[in-house]
Amino acid sequence: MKKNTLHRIISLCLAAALTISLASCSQTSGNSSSTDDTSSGGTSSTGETTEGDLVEPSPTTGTVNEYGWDPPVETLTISVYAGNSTDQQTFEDDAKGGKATYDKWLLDNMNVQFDWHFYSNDITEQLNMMLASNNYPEVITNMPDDMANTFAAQGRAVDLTGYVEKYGDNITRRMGNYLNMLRDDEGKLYKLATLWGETPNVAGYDFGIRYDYWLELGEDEIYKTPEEYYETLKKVLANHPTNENGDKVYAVTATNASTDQGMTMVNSMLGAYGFVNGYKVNDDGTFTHWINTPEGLEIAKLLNKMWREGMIDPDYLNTTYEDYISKLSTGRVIGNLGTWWYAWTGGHETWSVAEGDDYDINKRFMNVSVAAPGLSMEDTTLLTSNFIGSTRCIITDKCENPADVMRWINWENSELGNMISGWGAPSETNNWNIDENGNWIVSDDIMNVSQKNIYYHDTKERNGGTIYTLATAGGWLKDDELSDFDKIDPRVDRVSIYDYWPVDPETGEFSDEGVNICWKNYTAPAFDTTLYSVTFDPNEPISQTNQTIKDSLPTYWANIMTASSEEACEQAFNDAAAALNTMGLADLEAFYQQSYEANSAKMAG
Amino acid sequence: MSKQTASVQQSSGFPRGKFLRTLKRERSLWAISAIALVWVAIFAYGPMYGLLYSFFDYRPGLNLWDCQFVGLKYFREFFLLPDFGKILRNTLVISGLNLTLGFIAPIVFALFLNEIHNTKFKRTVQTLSYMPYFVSWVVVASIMNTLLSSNGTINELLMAIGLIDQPISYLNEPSLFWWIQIIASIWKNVGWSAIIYISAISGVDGELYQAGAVDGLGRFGMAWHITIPGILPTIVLLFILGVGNLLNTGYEYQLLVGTPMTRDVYEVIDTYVYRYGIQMGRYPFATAVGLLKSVIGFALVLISNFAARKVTGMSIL
Repeated sequence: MKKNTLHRIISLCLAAALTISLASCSQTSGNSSSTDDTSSGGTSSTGETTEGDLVEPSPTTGTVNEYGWDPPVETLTISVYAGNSTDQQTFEDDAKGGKATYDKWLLDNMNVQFDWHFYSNDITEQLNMMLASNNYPEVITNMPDDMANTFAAQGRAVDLTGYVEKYGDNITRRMGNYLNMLRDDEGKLYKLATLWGETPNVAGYDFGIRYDYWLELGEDEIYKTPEEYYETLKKVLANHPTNENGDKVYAVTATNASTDQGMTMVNSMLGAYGFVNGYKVNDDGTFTHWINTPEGLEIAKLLNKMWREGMIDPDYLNTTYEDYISKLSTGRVIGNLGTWWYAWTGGHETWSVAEGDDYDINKRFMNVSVAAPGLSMEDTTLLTSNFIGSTRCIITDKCENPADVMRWINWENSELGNMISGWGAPSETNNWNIDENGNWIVSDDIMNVSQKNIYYHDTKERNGGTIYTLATAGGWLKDDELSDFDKIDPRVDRVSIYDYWPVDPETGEFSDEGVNICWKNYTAPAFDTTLYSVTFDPNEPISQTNQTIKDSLPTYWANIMTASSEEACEQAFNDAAAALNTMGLADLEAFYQQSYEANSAKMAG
Repeated sequence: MSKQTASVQQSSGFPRGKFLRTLKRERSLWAISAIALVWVAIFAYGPMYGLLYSFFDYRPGLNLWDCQFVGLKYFREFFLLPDFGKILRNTLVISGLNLTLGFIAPIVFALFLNEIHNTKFKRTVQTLSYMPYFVSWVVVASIMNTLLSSNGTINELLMAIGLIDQPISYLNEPSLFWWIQIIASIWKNVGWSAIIYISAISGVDGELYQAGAVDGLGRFGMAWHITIPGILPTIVLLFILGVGNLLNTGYEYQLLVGTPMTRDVYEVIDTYVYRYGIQMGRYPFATAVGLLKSVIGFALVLISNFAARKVTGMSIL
């Protein structure tokens, strides 16, 4: 009896606790209760602004300074969450003092300060937590496109349309029609591109090879097709079956990163066949996934042949990025089918340091572009450029004065603001300075490419370069009809907020002989993939279809590539196609096509 | 007041006096337990309201009550997954191996350790054995890679002694995945899990061993007839609790060591929920699967408890 009573009382207490928790839960969702989440296309019924609703900027000094900024009378402090590109502690420790230097410059010259935050967890998880707790800063940048749409749909992102029109002249001028791509279905702007612009890279997907070994072959011309690449690799392997340590040498490998797992090899091949994001864009405007194409089978057979002939590293699925680099630098892998800069890092950048004065300039990997038979280099999609990138910046409803923030973002998008945000403030101790004629002169120290890490990157870090960028051009600071970068030192080209390349001002060639060797055979032009951008709403069924297929594909691919014979390979390929089609690949093909059509319409305005 | 009503009040009424008397009598015990009870209420029962999310089309940032009630939609979605059969099979096999080999290993280890009489050596072995427990799965994965890659230690050794001609890609071999995982898991956990058995063994009455020796029992006989029965309640307790965790395989090892080649055998409920629930921000789905696992786990505890009572006469409930 006593026992039963106690049980009953404890049960009552727990039930009461549960009820109280439930009741409190229903009251803790802040201002979100009146919003509807459509979560598609960033359409919102709240938070809209008209010209008359725009908040006026805070009072300014009224004088535009030498950096093109009219400082506010009172210090403008902007709180920002910037994703998880670093961790907060490292940022605050500021080992090289760049943050302190740039903070001081911003305060002294611009009267602006940042309250900048990073969180080490996944950005989507963090943003969902912020939404659930109604606790987020004034500006969020570096966020996935679908999350920006969610914030907009819940009325938590400020409608920037009017602000951009009134205070964003640099943004509208320099982004041109691409800005339309960021608008919602009603033409409103709730998000900006975190980093936009054309890629400054020369190379993309790479069919690279050890240059010194290729020279040994004495061939007159570089390979032009995937098949010729295979033949060349085979010849090199015949000359170099083992490395200096006696380990077996392979032609290519991959990494175990979830974004690779052998798929980078396929994607490189697909680039040579002119596929976009893994899809063949047919003449009638329809999209076909590569697994449903004869070209896909052709690629599968070639890579399967390489596998069967022992040319592909059997540990490619267990190779970390560090292992990959090590395999290149120790001569265990003599080709690079994938990301171009892996071959730089694991190749000449490592050897030139390790071997010092004994280093032979020909000992390096050469980045090479190839095209499928019958295709010209212009038809390839090896080097792609998405003008609006994939991450976004929003001003949230927590921001008291969006006009102030927009004024700042607009300054970031001025040519000078862009350069300062990327390289740090101009000074004699930085990589660049402004001379008496207003020209942007780079330091002589950074003209030596092989010393880039020591001089350029280190100096940039010490000056706070790229430490704070909300939404600006991260790509090529190109002098064209939209932007005016003619003040940049003509001794450097392909300048971006992250990088540059020294060139001979007269010939336009790279001034470093090694760089010319690396890139002389990379002739694929950049293919603009902006219109092919796709955003998945995680709550829509198509998103799960995409995820399921994305997860399954590396497994099917592994079975295809490692098949024991060409017949088995073809069978595995057909099985994979059948299985993936059952999972809804046709829906995905249609979705990609619809996204492209919608993007095209948006772009046209 | 009618007779019937009075009877109901009598049977279900609040016997305040009795309760207070009991509370007063056991006040020191309740005082000791108070902090733990508060902790349980806040951290174990409090968050249970979150289970409601599995019945709504909840999206972070929206009030739960403004979200559409979808009933068992997410539960159905889980059962209708195209890979459901495979995922469930892998979960049960991996958990089953842990519940059998992984469960027996620390008992055997504890019994062996009990047979060592050199105290220094015994302590050294015990310390060394539970150190891997503190090694993260990331490090374990790296060790596995070093040992089992095509140019790893195992392959080099086997090739050197002529047992194989070509290296074997152990980590990409689906038929080996479960065995490699259970070996890694035993290596990592055996010492730590054995601590409780070693402790239980030390509680076995020493006179029983003396009596056993008089009766002519050898070392094996003593372990079989004295030590194991002595620690049987502990074994039963841990087994019942272990059964409750049958569907919790974790996901670290799978995500770190699994490859596309072994996906068919490594994908378990936890990896699936991590990717399709947490990473995609689909919290109702993740909650629904969590709730389902808890209900099944609870049912399994009750069943195993019942079975244990029937077979051994011991139970925890």
